[in-house]
Amino acid sequence: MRTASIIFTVFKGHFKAWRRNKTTLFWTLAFPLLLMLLFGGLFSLQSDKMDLYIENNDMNQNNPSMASLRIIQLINQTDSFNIEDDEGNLEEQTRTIVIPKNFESRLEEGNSSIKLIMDESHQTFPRTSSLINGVINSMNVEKQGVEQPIVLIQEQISSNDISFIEFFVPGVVGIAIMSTGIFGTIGTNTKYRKNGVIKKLATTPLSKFEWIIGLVLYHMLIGIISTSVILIVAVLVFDINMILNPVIIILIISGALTFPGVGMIISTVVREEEEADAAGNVVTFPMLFLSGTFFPLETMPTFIQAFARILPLTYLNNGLREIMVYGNYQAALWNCSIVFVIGIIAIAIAMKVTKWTDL
Amino acid sequence: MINNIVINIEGLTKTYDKFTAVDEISFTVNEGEVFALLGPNGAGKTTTVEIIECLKTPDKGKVEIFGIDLKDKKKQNDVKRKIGVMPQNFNAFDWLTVKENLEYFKDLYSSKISTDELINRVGLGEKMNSMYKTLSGGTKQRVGIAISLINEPELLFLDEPTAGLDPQARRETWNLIRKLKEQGKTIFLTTHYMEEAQELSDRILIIIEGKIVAGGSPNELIENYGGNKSVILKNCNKKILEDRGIKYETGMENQIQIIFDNNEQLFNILSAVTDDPNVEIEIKKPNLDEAFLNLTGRRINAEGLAK
Repeated sequence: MRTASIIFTVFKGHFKAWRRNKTTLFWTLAFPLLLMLLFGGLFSLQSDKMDLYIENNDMNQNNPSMASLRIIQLINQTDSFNIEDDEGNLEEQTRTIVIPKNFESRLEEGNSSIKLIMDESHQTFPRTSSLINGVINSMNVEKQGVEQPIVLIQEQISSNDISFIEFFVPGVVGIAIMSTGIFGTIGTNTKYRKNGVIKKLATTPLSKFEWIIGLVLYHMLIGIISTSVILIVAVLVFDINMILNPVIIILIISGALTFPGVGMIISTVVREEEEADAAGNVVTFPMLFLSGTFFPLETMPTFIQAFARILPLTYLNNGLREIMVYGNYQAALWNCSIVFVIGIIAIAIAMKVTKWTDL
Repeated sequence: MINNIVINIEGLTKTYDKFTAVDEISFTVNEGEVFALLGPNGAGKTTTVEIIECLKTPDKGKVEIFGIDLKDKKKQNDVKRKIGVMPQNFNAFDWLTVKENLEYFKDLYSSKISTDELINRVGLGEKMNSMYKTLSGGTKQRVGIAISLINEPELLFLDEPTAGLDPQARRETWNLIRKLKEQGKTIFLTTHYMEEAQELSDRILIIIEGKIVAGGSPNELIENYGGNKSVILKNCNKKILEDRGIKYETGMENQIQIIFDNNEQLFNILSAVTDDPNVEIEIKKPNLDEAFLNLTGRRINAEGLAK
């Protein structure tokens, strides 16, 4: 009970200092947001049109029927799609329209349909569905007098196609957890050692264990707050769908064990406050660029991929992406367990090497 | 009156690689006294005090606080609850207010003390809700002392409590230390300021290069090592002195220095020169600075360096 109360005191002290210090607020909240808005904005500007594959089966002596051409024309007029020829591989096609055989003749009979094949959980599904419905309505208006309008049939497929921003947002969350954990811990420990705070604490009944656990809990809360802010802004600005699930919290907890642990280990070799940022950069820079934050690991050379597999941020990013974007619990939990184990090892080493006496 | 010993040190030694920071020192500190460990930077003061505060492990020797041997690591927490420590160059949490800083440390001790009452006791009432980082150096030292009192300790360690402070802030800190002494606290002071040790301490231990060179009350140290008292005369006719058989030394700018041991000799000198209105008289008493110089052949400058 006493230990819990002391840990809470340490946690509360760190949290109060965090919310009052504009510099730490910037690095924990504003910096990840700026990063997301900058890169998300840049890559989103590339094209706001969606790829649409069309399988036109309404052919008359190898020529598409007039009705099928008309519907393709109306789709084109929405100016929302890059129309591609069907490649026959539905798994790689995010959205496909199938115009059935005899579409034109059935249209005259008032008994026609077209099919939209798409993953309903995909973030662009509502927009796609609405646009295609709009096209069908226009066609129906043109065919006034026909009893039954064209019907849109939807067929569900699962798709792995995600936009850059969907890929990037979990990476931004990962960066926020990593940089807060590493820079925050190195900075705090170095400053407190210089100011005699660690010495003072060591003369009180506070133990090294209680101090470290208080620090880890504080990083967990900061991780949850920064993740929430990043997700809210991502949804509001980029209109993306993210799957929210308790596994995200477990991933944040695991990250909040790992990165402050790494920071504490580094703190033991950093003597001066001025060296703190440089030491943090040495560790965070490779992780920032090689852990699949900006680009998928698969696009990198094999030796870099091998290096990335030893970086904890790789697993945190993967885990966050699996759960937030794909809703793949199993893969998320597998990555989460790797981060958690690294976290426990990091904290155990930190407990061992952090000096409480004989500083 | 029998003095209760609160600190008992015997043969304490601490080395770093081949450097001996503290070399077989022994001393005791009695209940209710202000005890000063005086020496230049690097003399071994902080190492000694940090061993007593359970912050460093000695290589050799015995350290007992309130009769508890610090070798017993399990009992160190009992010692920690009874002592208050203000480390050298201590700064509290920048982004907490004065009161919040005190509440923080109060919670660590599960202390029942009223922080408001403590804040007023050390004269920080007006600064209670000020952010620590906005305080002046002197006020920060007050907060440091207040924090070290949060567990109502019987024994207080103040490591260089006025280092880097301006004269006014130093005086204010001294007054606070005097008040604490009046309240019956045992205070262990480490300092490189001669004046501070002389003004505040009941007993002083002079430490140089890890070794104790002298100890005693300020008066005893001055008496034993400070040298003679002297009268400095300017514009004085030497013949008057010679006629009375007073021995003198002539210094720069025709200054005359006459050493005396007692009041009778002093009266004899003064009565010889009082008739001459041109004579300027200065009576020089030895101080701790002189005693330190005579003991070590060095003086300590404001930065704490022995030269």
